[in-house]
Amino acid sequence: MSALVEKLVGEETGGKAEPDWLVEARREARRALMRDGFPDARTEDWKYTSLKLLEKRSLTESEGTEREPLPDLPAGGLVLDFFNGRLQVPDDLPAGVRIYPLREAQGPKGLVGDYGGREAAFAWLNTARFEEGWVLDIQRELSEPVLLVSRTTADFSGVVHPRLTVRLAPDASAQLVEMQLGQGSGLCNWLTGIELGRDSRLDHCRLQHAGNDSLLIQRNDVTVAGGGRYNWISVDLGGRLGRHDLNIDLIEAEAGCQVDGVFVADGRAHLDHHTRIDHRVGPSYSEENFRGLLSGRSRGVFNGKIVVHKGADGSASEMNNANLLLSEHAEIDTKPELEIYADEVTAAHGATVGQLDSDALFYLQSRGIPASQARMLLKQAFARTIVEKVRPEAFRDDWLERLAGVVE
Amino acid sequence: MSQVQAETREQVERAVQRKYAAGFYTDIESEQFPLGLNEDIIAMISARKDEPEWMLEWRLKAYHHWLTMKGPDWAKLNLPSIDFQSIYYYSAPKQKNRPKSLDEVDPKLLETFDKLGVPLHERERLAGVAVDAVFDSVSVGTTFQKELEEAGVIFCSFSEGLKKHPELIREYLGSVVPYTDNYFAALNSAVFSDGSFVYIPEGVRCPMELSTYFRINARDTGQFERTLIIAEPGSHVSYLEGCTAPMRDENQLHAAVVELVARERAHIKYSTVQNWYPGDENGKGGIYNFVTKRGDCREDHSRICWTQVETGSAITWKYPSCILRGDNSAGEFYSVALTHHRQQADTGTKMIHLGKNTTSKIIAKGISAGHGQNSYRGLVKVGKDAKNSRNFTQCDSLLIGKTCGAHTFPYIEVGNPTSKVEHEATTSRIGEDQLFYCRARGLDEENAVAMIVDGFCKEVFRELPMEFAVEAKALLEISLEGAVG
Repeated sequence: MSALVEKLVGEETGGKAEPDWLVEARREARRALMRDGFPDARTEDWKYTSLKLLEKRSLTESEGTEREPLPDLPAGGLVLDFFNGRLQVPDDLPAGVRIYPLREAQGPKGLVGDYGGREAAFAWLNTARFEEGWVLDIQRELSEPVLLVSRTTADFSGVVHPRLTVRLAPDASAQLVEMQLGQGSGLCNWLTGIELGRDSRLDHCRLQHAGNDSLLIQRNDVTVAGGGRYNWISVDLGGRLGRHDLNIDLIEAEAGCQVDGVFVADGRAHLDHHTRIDHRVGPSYSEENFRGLLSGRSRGVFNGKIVVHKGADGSASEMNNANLLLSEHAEIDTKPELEIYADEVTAAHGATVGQLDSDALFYLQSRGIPASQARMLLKQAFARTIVEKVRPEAFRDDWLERLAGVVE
Repeated sequence: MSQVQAETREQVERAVQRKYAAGFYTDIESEQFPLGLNEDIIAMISARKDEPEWMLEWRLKAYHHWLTMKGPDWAKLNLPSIDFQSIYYYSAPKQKNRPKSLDEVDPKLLETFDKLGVPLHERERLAGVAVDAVFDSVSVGTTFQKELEEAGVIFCSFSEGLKKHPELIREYLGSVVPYTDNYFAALNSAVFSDGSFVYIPEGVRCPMELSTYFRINARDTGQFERTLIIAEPGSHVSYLEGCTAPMRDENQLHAAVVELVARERAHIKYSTVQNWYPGDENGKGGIYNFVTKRGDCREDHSRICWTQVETGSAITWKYPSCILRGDNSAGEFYSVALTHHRQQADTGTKMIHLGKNTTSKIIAKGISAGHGQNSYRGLVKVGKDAKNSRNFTQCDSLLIGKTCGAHTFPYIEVGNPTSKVEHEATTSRIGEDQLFYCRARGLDEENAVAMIVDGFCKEVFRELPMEFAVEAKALLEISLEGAVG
């Protein structure tokens, strides 16, 4: 594993005109990586997800390929097109929106941080290696959605470290639609930061419909200020290895978040979702619903953690995780965790692992629907509950169609 | 002083006195091995007990393995480092000859157990419970041996078991918890000094409840006992375990291992009321309780049920588990864990489903008050071949006060598409409306809380044998004293 670390960390990239704080942050990231290395089976947060696959892949630094035209999108908006990790900066920006490279920021505050030990190795790796990080600044209420498209080509076999920080000013609001459409056998190591100012709101819908060979490691750090609201809906339909860390920090009173997710795994897919919600000040609110549908030889992991810190009185949180295990060789590992240090709190979680409801199957068959079709309907219905919440509608319809294509 | 003040003072004094009734110390002449741990100490323990050669070899293997291990750091516990060289590994009350019957046991010892409410003397037949009493490192007496013998049941101290039935112990010892299992199991395997041995022959329903009472008395000693229960096909046994220790400012270590083996259609019920000294309100003193308990449902239709009420100890690290190997076997775990003042508990269970149609049920209730930290940590694992297996887990936490913590870490690993696993957990404080209702009915706040807590734990208490249920309820009330307000 240490050979892999050395290979991916590589040589220090000098020569670029970067401010001192960024140079120092990159050095710190290299130090952390060389010190702690990559997580292994003994790292609690990576217990169920092995990085062996990464060792088997060539994963050389990617060469620049010519940008292919953007595929048709279900609806228009402000497009942020990351092609093989490189952003094409859009020409016209709506009023109140600014995009600038990370290195032009005033300082590291909110842009790079102390990510932790070896469990955060990929955040450090991104920090050490990202080519060009970006900051998206939103000052007001946006009427059209921001469309983040991340794609790699079929011959992509390298590693890219895209990086984006989205900042919403107080009272601003926006819709962010993210589409992870990676192809090829390379690794996409995403790091997204989201900062919500007071009373701002971000609706973030994410689709992962990558190729069967693609490796995607993503981390999304969100902080929500007082009265702010972060809604996240995630739909995973593809990929070979997918690891997603969502960390939401509710740092002031009346901050809230809603987390919904579904992953559909088949073949040899390994999809791992880790979510962590910190209630730092009360009252703050969180609700989480996660679903997994597993067939073939796939493996699904869900780890949902809720921490209610001392003094976050009056907070309420609820978490639900439901999984359907549909084949003999599939496996699901789930761990809904609660850590509570305040007493005027209501917190609950539930997790289930089961199969399709035989009564429902029988009912559909008694209405003349063949067993195979009845099964398909039930599986789709299980996932649709989440996908139907996606907005704008054009994307919802597109994603439902993709879902129908995947669940047969 | 006004009358009200006087009454209040009286109440407070009474409460203080009630706090930890088992905290007294028995002044009895005892024999201790030199301080610390090394091969010689282990050889001395083994020699003192006249153990066969293989037993000493096993101990030494465990000791050498232990030397290569590191203490567990994954639990949500603030663990102080333990100096294993400043502990006495063997301490026993001095007896001229081993007493042949209870009449010959030092009256001081009998008195101790009397004071603790443990019916050691045969005259207390009415209690109807056979007791093996363990004082520091040795068993001082086992009651009702004759009656049990008639039924074919073997119930004796571990040392006696090793003398009389070495073949049984050699076959089963370490077969559920090998000495390589974990740090504290390895330590225990090296230095265990006594414990209980139970053997229920085929088809026998044990005629009475069996019980072991563990008492730590001497200063700076650790207690390392080992219990082995073997239930042959079709047999049934209910076993109770209780424990107390004197109040001291130093921490003392208790690292036990319990192994249960249930063969075809056998049923073992194991209940614990753990009331080790928890330390004072500032966290001074108390027992460190690191226990490995595991049951093996080795054959079809076997059943193991763990019930525990954990109110004592400064630190509790304990995960009574079931390996559901036989088809149609069943495991159950009922637990109430309470942490008050500076107590910390990281406890739960593991249910490993390997056989077909295996079922497990987990009911865990955690109560945190004061600065207590209480964690449920559990694993439900369904193997590839565990067809149609079923688990239901419920863990609820109750928080009393603003400075305590309640945590839940359930691991669920399912690898079979015909099994069903359900887990639910809630965390809440005692409801204002519940309290108000009780108070409107004339209960004072402390009694109202006691009643609500009792209701919260009912599902678990119901699983305890009657004598224990009463004791558990009283213990909770005492342990929670002063938690409200």
